[in-house]
Amino acid sequence: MSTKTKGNPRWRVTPTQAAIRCLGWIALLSFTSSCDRPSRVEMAAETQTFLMGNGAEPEGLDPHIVTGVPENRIFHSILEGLVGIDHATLAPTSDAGAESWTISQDGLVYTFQLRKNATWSNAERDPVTAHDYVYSYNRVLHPDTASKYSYMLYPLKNGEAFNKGDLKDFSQVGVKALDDFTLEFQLESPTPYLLSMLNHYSWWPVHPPTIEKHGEMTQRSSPWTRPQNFVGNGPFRLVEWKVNNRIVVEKREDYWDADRVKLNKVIFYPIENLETEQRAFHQGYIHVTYEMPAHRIRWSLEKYPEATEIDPYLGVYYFRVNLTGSKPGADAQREAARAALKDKRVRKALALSVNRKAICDFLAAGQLPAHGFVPPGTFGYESASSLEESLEKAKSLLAEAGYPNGAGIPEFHLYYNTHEDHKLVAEIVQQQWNKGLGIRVALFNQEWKSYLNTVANFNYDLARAAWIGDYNDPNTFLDMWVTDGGNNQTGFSHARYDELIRLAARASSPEERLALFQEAESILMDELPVIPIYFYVSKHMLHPSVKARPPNILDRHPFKDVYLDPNYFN
Amino acid sequence: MTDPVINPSGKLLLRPEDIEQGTSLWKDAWHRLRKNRMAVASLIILILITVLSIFGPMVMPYEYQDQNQGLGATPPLQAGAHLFGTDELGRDLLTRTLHGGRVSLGVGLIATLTALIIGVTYGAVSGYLGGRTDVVMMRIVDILYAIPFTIFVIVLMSVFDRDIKLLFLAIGAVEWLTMARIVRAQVLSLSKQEFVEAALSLGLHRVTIIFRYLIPNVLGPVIVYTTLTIPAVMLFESILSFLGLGVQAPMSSWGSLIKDGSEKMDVYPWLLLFPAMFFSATLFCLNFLGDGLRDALDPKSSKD
Amino acid sequence: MFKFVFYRLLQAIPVLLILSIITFVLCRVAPGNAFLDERAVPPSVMKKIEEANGLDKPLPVQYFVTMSSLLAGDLPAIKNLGRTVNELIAETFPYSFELGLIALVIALLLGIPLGVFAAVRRNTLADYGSMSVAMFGICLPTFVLGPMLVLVFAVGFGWFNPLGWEEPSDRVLPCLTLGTYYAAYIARLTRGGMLEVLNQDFVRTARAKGVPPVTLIVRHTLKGGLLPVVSYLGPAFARIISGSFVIETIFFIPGLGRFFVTSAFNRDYNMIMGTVLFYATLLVILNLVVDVIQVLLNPRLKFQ
Repeated sequence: MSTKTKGNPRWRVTPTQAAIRCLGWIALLSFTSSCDRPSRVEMAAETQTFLMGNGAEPEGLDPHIVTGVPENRIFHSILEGLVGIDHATLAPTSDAGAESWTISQDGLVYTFQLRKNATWSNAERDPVTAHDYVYSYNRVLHPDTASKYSYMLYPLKNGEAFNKGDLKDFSQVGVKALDDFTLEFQLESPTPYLLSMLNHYSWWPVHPPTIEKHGEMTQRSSPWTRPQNFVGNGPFRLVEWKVNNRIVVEKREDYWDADRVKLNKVIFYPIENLETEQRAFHQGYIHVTYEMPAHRIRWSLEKYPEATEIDPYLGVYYFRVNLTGSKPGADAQREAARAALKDKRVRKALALSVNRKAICDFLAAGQLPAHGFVPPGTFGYESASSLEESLEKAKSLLAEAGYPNGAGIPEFHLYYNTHEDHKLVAEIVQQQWNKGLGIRVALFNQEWKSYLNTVANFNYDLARAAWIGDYNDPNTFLDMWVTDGGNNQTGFSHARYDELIRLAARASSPEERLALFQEAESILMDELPVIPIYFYVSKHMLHPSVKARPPNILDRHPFKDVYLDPNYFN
Repeated sequence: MTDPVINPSGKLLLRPEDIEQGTSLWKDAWHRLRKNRMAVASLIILILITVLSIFGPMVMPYEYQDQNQGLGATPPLQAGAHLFGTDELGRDLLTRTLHGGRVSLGVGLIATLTALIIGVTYGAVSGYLGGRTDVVMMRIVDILYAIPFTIFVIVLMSVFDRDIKLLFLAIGAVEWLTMARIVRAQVLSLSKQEFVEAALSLGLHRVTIIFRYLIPNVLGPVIVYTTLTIPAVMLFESILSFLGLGVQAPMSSWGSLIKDGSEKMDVYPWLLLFPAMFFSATLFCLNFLGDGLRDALDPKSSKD
Repeated sequence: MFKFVFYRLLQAIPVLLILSIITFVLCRVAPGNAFLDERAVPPSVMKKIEEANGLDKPLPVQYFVTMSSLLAGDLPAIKNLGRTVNELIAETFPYSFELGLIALVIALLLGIPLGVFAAVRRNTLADYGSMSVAMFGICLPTFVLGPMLVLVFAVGFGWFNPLGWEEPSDRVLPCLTLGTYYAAYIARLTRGGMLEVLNQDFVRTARAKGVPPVTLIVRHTLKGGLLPVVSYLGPAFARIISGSFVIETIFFIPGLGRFFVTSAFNRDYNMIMGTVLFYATLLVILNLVVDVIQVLLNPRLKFQ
């Protein structure tokens, strides 16, 4: 570097630049040097206070209204569902609201025996009863609540009909309180992943008297979620909520399983800026980061291997392909581009010419190249289809479609929401297509809502997308591609595919179900309304003093058992 | 050199000969500027940077978008002919910096010029006319100041196709406002001075007075503020590209390079260092050149 | 003067009215809405949600409802469920105000002396030196300087927390970052303004009469020299105390500044309206204050 500045006539510039460089080096060197006062993380081990970077300010704390991941993490502390999960394997466990359950032979009736000593966090310590669950499910499914996650409860008999307003009488919906502590589900069809779904907060109960006290059952926004009003059934109680600042929860001594709860306090910081969060972590301000920017992975793995936590995640990164053709009034360029994309051979050429390994190598966090759509590790599923990457094949397909060596192929517009990582992937793929096939792609970034709007209105040729599983089952990845599915948004429509998904929902054996899903996925990988790129990993910095917080594929972390090891600092 | 504004022969200023006198003002200014060594040095460096930005990318062995993933992010002078090193995708940073200069200098120049013309004219007219016109014009500025900019750009993007003209429209819409306020305040105080009254009593047209007498006399603050606007505009461009307006990946600009680099300053410091160096050098030169220009144009300074 | 202030406040009414209409229209025209999610929301659900938020009513009714509940203080924020817009502004503004005020004091304490010094020693090494210091704040935009200070003084030396706004020491880095930026502007503008005044005849006369330089500057020239700074400060002050998105995100300060950007990204129509009108009110008041100060600084001007 110094050779560049030597003999530089711009002497006025040099001091500033030298200063920048010095500061940079000081920062680098001093990263490792310790400072005299103990960090917050160190002090936290004494008080068992868990400090979490939590991404963004939660939209709210009503589990039946909000949909975000930051909210999800908070719900795991202040609420509790029927069924717990094994922290590592995600297998259903009986350490939550229900102490046991039975499933009928045909898989259509679930009977839950609720725990009698589970209580709400209000002053009266109301027991959590089966009626509370019934009330909650009425609330989620009620059309007036307009819950975005109401579809999660569609496995309940008549749940969908009630939610869509076709059925007015909630007592017809398949959920009943047989007595105060016995809850029964009647299902629409056998749903092998039901227990896994129950760990999603849309299935978690709320305290009916609290809801009624502060508003109506179906009211989307009321002050009941304020710290002074909030009543939950989880291991912690909400004590403080400062907007854009922090949410504090404290251990409930009256929680039924309080002995297993080691933490006294959890503080959630909605740190949106990823770099700020990284700096906070490196100074010992928080125990765990919400995310990690791509450019820090290599660096972190090298410098802080013991704190860099990277694990497979149930999600897939892909490009949507617009199959709906151009809209009336579109210019000739768009018309040609959309027409080209309707040609399966062009889509296949695009899909086969992506060098996914190069992308994953670049991202460096152990992302897996996606040659199918369902991530590996999805419960009880094994992908049977695989895209065979081949530039040769791609070229001949393109020539077959009438664009030898990309001649005459229109420029495609690739949309992505503004994000450093998406930009990098788009730039790599852009170059791969250009070098490999001679296809030109123009990149368009948009802020989040504009991007969602673009995709929903089919104003794109190609669009970056991601799907994170709602529950651990292939269904969450495959049922979205049925004709006119809300999340389809590509115009993909395939009769056999629709039929397969329908059949899978009623399949009688796991083997049959697996086979149906496998066929569906191979149709998807043949028709290619989507070009899968890679399977996600979850990436966090996690302080080594945090114990009993094993990784899992849904990146969901209950707070029971977690503790901070004070010995780490000695 | 006497001050042309209080020249007693002001009556003649409307005649064709004026133009000649006008040019001699500029000629004089140029003459004075040449004597300011700091300004001349700055001008030379600015020209150098501009030439480098325009022609540099043509002679570089790499293209700004050429990736070399095997290389990844390498520090300066460690691989191949990458003088400034490479970014994470293995793209040559020098090429990207020079290429970014085209965009940033272009945007900085055109957008600032737009803001300058609108702002100075608007401010001068408002300040000079005064009264109700001034009130209305200034309240319009107040409104424009407070328009929620992010949502404005989002709407702009959704209504029109992506276009570089939008960029100037968006930047121009914001940057001229302060300029207008500054000019107005100056003109307001100037218009009460004797020479304007004198010009008025000589029967000169208002437009003439504004462009002939008032604007030249507010050039000082205007130049200073302009040199402050250019960096603001260059950085502004990187914020707009977040909204999808402005340069699109994989193209680069100084603003976006600095913004990217700032996130990685402790991981890959050179990604910030080199673009920031070019950016800073340009700003320093612009400022010293601006100061020189201000001095040169200031008729009174010759008496020093 | 009271008449002047009264009329100006009267003028604020149409300003705010027009601004609110423009904002309202921009919000409704912007693509997407507050409830759009990555997971597609079924049309029937979307319809219910919009009903619950009163978005199914005719636009004029929506406008009227928004404005009247904003004035009544019970306009709900869309993206912070269970809170009102007024409540959020009241909760977050004090942070931004404190940050802005300290930063502004730093900026003035740093900028004005630097500018005066440079003007007095114009075109000497001292001038170039102090202007170079001032340029520091412009060449290193807040999103570069902020992280840099944190890396060195918080993460590196451990003198400060890297983020937050709890201990008194948490104020140092963000206020310094923001202050440096404005100091640069103020120093440049002060220098320019001072030069204008220093060239005027009364200064020469005073100097010739042997008035000591410090007295000359403080008593006679500073008033006029600060004119451009004052007209810059009106909008700048409003901007600085209503919060800085960049500083508040980098340092994780729960201020109002973040809402100016996030409410637009979230399409939180109510919050956009609230923040815009709040900012506009500040702006109108502060511009008025500035205009009053300008008259006080410049005896030639009258309140009109």
